[in-house]
Amino acid sequence: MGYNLEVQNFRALNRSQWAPSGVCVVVGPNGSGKTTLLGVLEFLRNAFLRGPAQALNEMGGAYGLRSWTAAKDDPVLLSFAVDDLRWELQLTVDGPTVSERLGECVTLGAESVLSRAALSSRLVYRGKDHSIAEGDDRLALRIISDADSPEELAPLIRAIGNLRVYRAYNIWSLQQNGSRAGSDLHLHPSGRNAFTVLRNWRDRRELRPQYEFVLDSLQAAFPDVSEDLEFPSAGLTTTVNLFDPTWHASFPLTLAPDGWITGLLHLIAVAGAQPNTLIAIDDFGNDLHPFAIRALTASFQQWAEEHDNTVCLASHSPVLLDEFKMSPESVFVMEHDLESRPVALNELFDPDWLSRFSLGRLYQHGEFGGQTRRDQGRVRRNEDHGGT
Amino acid sequence: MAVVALIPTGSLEHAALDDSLAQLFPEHDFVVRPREKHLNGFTSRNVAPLLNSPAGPVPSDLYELAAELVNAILPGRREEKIDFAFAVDDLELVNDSQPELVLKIFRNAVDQFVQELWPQNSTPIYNQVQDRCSFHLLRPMTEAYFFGEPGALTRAGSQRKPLLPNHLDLEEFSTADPEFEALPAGNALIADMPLRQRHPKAYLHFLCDPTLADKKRKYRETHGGVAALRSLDWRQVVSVAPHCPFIHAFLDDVAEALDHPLPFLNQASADSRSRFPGPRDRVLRNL
Repeated sequence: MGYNLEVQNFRALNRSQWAPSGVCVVVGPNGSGKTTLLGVLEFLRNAFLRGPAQALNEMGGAYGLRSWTAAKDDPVLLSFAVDDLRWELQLTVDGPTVSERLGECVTLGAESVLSRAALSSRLVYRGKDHSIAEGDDRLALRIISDADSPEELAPLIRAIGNLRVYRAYNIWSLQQNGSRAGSDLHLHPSGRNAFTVLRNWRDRRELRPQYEFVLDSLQAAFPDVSEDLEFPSAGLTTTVNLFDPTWHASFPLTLAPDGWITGLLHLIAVAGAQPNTLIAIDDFGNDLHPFAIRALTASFQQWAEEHDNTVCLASHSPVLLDEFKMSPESVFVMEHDLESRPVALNELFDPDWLSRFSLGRLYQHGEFGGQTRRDQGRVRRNEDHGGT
Repeated sequence: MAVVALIPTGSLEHAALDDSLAQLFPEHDFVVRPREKHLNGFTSRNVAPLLNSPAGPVPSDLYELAAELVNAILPGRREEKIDFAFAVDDLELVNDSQPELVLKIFRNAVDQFVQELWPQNSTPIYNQVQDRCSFHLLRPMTEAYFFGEPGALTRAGSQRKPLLPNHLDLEEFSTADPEFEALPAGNALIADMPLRQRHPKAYLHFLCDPTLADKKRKYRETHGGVAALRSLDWRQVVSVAPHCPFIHAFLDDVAEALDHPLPFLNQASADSRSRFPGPRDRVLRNL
């Protein structure tokens, strides 16, 4: 399944066109827009599910919504495409938030399927006019989805509904409070329901492969930390105990290393993705030992390949980058002075030149994704590739 | 007992080459370096541009491999004494016609590293490197040798018997499998691989999953590949003529370093480019 995200004039992103696939990495200096790029995915999902105003509130409100370098009349556009189905939103600021009636269109190839003019109370689907009730803050795509569940839009709706972005785990709260018992099967963005999800996977036969994947991958990434888990419950709270692989004795989560918990949450995030869907993890690599980064990445790659998932990792980790030595097309670079970003690494550099180096080493030396602006010394594609 | 450091450039060799060689030399210790992750090779693309290429600010994969080889035998790492170090890289099909160039480029890189780090008093370092460090090529890649032992292919996950030409030198690998050769385009690892019929790993992918669609059965270096290499019967692999001259040179070099002759090896079968005979111009044990 091919995804394509386009952004114009949204916060730090003047212009973006991004087609992630498989397991891929987004790198770049602080402030270059990595989190914003992933945030757009989250915004689109939340806007579809809960309305644009609510989605924007969850992104911090309307201040700075329009890119500061954009002209006043330039539109703020977001679009998300699944194969040849493309959904576009035009964001219109209305006081402290966005209008509930955004300009919106869905195209199938070159054909317009669904449209709604900005601020309009009408939408057109397949040439048929529909009025939108006063106070209905749903997007046009959601209104049509709720009314008709049209088969032709199903891949797009499914992809948007299953987009998941993880960027702010609350590990301290998880350690102190555990998870609230329930029937959750997907990880909350904060990670707060991790143990409930994991236990539910373990106890449901059809989901047990997800549980086993998490457990096996954890042992591969943290071989000295834990060999098994148990899920003690008290009232409505579920937590986890680990089993020491040397002494075979259990110990509580509060004694577990932060990196192990972070790795656990990443694995639950990936294993919880529906087949053929896209998930993103921000700041991947924080808390993690290089060995764990490599092992987790290998697990993600295997899972994503077997389930046709796209897993996007935003990171500063040279260790992670080195895992993409053979696939520089899966490394996407954000830099302040790139007119459109991100750009795939193999489009910035001659692949022959690139093949001579560790990608992590190049990143550490600021050859790409550097904190400072581009200088004359860089060797880039179509420039002088004179030597190593 | 000697301690031998292996410096491979792939995850398969990093995970299993030490155990594989320990079968042949059980009284010696084999370790892989760096411990947790292999270095990158430099042969995945045509190496010709690397010859006489000036050094830049970022150390290249070639330079890092050369540095790791030299540093492996020098004192300084904690609790570690390495007697011999062997860097091992796949020749790869893209460089199959120019193994001598690959060897020369690596030899030059070691030379450059020693000169840069010890510009004043390099003779003792050269002596150490010349006695204790080697660089060898697997041609075109490790998986070729699995075809010398049917059990290795089974351990790797092969679902069917391979079809190979008679009297094949595994280091000049090619298939005689019409079904494999007729695969339609559309699979990067197998059908679209350049020189597909000469690519042992692509053929192994096919043997493990002839449907090309079952992702759980596909060949994985770190699973089936490791199982195959770890207990690979090297005697069987090199015993049938022609004798795989590059792996012959490698095993012969290890055997000589450890003063542990392997009766099934014949020095005359070793590739002469990998076993540079002259003592004067050598930088490494074998080059």
